Amino acid sequence: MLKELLNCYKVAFKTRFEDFLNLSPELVEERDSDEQIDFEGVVSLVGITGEKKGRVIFYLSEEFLKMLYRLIYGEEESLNEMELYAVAAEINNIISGNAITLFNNESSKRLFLSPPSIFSGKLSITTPRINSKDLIYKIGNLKIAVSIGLEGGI
Amino acid sequence: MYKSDMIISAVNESFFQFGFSNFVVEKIEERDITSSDFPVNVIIGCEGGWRGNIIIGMEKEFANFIVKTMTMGMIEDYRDKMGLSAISEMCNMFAGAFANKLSFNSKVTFISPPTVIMGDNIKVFLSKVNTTTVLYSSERGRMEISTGIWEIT
Repeated sequence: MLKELLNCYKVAFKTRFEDFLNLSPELVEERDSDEQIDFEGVVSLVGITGEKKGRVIFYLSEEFLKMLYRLIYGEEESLNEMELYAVAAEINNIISGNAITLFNNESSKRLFLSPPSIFSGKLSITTPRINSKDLIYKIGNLKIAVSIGLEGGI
Repeated sequence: MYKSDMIISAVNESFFQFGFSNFVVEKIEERDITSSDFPVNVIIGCEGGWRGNIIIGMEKEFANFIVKTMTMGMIEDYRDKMGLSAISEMCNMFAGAFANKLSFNSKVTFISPPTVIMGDNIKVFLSKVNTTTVLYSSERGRMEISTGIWEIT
């Protein structure tokens, strides 16, 4: 089930970035997630509920979020912390919403998403008893990592 | 039933089962944003009849206290793998009891698995929604439960 969900995320990631922002993300790595992840930057998290539980975490650098903000609004002067967080929340919401819709349409399962939550700083993150995979994308010279996990996974 | 009453009742049903009876409600607050200033945070999403996020923030000392109590003294550090598992399970039990209370009147509410986020001076921003917050304090530190959830009509 996790494999199918990952495939939906790959499609959603590519199409949303290409359609909305005219960017071509390149999948550079797919790997099992570490049990605990240490990260410095901005993290956007959405929960998965429904027939299967899980969570999706986007690991975003400030540079990446600023680039997205510039692409969406065309300037950066008025950019404050809250707007940066809003971009982080929305990028996760758009891609996860699309991926979950694709997944629900292709399978007989029904999954739902909880609203995004945002964290920033020097973070240690762990979700016990979950199987998850990381997708690492490169857009230009910036990287973005997505961790997708389901209870009982694989 | 007010949300704060539901939180307190859910804490009584979950935390107190393990003998965490020596902490008291210090403050009940309504905020317009869900956030946390604590170094150890557990996030649980809600979906269904009610939507939003629950965040349980705690001081390190309080996290250690939970772990030590739940493991009957075998583990004393919350950063231990089993310690993190114990904390998330405790919060999962609380969120389950809380979601059960929200689910009255056929507003069935589901919860996502808990994720533990730790760090000093981290910033937490969930949603700009009316948030009910209950702050607990004890000799072993403080814990704050924030429920930034809204009813789906």
